Amino acid sequence: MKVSQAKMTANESNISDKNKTGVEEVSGNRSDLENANNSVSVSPRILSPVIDRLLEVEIDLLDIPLVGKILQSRYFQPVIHIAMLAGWSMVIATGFLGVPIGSSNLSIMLVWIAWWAALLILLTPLLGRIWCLACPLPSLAEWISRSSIMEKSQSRTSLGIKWPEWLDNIWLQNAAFFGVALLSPIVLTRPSVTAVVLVIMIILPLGLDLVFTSRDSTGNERSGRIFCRYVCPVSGLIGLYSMVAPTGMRVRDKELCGNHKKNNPTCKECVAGAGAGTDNSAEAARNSGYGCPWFVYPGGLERNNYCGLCTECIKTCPLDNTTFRINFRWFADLFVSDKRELDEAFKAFIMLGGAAIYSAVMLGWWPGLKDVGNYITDLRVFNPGQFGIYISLLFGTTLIVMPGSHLLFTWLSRLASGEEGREKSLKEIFVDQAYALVPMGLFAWIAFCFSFLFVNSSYIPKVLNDPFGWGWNLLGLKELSWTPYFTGLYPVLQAGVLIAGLALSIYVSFRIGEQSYRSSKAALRSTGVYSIFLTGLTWLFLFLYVG
Amino acid sequence: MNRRRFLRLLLATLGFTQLGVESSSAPDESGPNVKVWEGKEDKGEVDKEITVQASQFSYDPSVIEVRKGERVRLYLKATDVIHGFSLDGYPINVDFTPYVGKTVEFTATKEGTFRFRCSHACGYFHPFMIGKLEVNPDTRFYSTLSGSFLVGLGVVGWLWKKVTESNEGESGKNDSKRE
Repeated sequence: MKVSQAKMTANESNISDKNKTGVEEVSGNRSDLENANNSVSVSPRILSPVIDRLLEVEIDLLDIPLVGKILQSRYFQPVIHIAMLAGWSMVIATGFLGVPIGSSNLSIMLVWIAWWAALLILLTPLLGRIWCLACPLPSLAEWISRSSIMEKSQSRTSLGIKWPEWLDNIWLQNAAFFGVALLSPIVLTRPSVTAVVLVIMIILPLGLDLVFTSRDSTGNERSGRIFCRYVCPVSGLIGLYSMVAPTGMRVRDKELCGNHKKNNPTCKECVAGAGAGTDNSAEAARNSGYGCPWFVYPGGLERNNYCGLCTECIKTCPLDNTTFRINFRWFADLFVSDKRELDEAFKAFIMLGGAAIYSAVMLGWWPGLKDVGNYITDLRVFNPGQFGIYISLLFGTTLIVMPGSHLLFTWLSRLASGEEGREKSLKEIFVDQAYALVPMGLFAWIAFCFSFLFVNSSYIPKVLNDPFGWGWNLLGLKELSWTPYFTGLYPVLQAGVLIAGLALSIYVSFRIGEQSYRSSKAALRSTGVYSIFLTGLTWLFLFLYVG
Repeated sequence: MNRRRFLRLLLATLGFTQLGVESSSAPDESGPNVKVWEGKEDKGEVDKEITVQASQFSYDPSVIEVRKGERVRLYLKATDVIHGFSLDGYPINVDFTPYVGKTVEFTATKEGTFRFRCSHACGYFHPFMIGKLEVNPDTRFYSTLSGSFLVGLGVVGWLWKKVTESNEGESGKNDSKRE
């Protein structure tokens, strides 16, 4: 079991000081290990004492003996991957071989109703990147690369081509999400297309992870989760919304990591892998962890964005300094001010705009939009005109209307803040304030999920009973019919969720404003103006769901 | 109890399925008093009578407006394949064929906006075949709009109060230091 090292108290970690800079946890290219000792403020300064007390509560899963033992075991992730791979193979098989009716096919119901809703309603908001821990899609590539499934091996198979530095960001993930979004009306309704997408999501990691290497924070090129880190469209959205989650990997004592680097400058086990600093291959093989496959420096972790919770650092850290922590500090990652980037800001626009377009096209009542979304008819006739309109709507909303409106209100809110607010450039405030859209975006997606979850969840036991739609009766539930649940209630829930998202976004906007402007009053004036934009967005979603 | 029956009961308990619930029924006098019959036979006077045409993957009209308390008669007609009509918030769920059609009669007892959707798999885009019934006055929608406005205002006001208190506290500390 882990030996607790100078555990950082909540109060210590919450000291608000915007001049302090935290270490970049993203990757070696952005990292600066020397800054590892600094921490960034996360705690609200103006909450009530009760909430402040609650925010101090922190549970380290590694302190629970059984859980700690499981997380430290090399078998932990491979066993999950094998089980998940078996399940997803079944999903792919039903997609290819089952009936083409989505509501009678396991692939559509399990992926786009159960998994998608679980991901956005429960997994990501509560447990951050927990899905990335379980996701089986890159596991084949990882096993081949390591030439091993369970035990740690020293060999890594990779062509060793360097991942381009200009792609060391999430722009490709943004583009990949667009790719999936463009095909969504087809993917969501055709089981075989869903299966094809899943197969591509298995092939792509094979192609990327075995070909490219990326630079870790010690400056060495290493193979790892290139696909997950830079390309996967789902990883991008999980990364963005995992910032609200109170669960994630951190280190107990950053100073310890900083000193460890000083004592052993060429080798960071958590980055390069256990035993990497030794010439003794037998000793290296005995050590049980790989270097972070996500090219993250665990000692600098302050946000959940790029940590895939693979638990390798728990296994490698020779100082037992890692912690898998759960606390009540939701949204804290949003206030880590020096990690904000334009690619992440655009992810927020894309996700929020995407939610609006999906809601209008799929859940709306306009016949014209149904034709636009259904650009490949049931007779497999492709309608380029409708596809063009769909692309224009999607791109126009997410890349022009959303960022444009955000820019306008950022500019206005900066003006409203007064002269003292001008110390940050408009571009910096544009990026900073985009993170205020994260709670609203997440809550809009949750409201979106309610629409189909309550209406279509009765299909789930039906497809478990007959996964291929071939007339099987595995669970004796053949006579089940489609039954929408709580249809009078779920719009009320949607409204409640959207309004909660508005309140949280206003609060986050203010807190970010406090980091951008010199005084709280300037931040508040700025937030007052920006709230008009946030309220307008909420009204749009209320119209789409409740109106 | 055999395994299958146990599973059914378990799913019903968890809310995944319902046991023995009819989709179209007349619950009580104060309820919507739903009546459904084949074809377009006229069965007395109602407040509003609307023909709703269903075709892949939309309804025409896609928005139906009625007033609360009105007795509404919808003649549902399919133009291509079998479609369904399931109305959120009301115990209405019927299928109808292209040639025969079906009539649904009910009283709009609940105000607000309610989605209606196809309940019979009619093609790939079937899950998104949706229209809406507006039972006016739609206070629910407008109350959510005003509610969101008030909540937004409330959060800004709360922040304003906290900032003011915090500033006063700091200036008070500074004053006492000077003294």
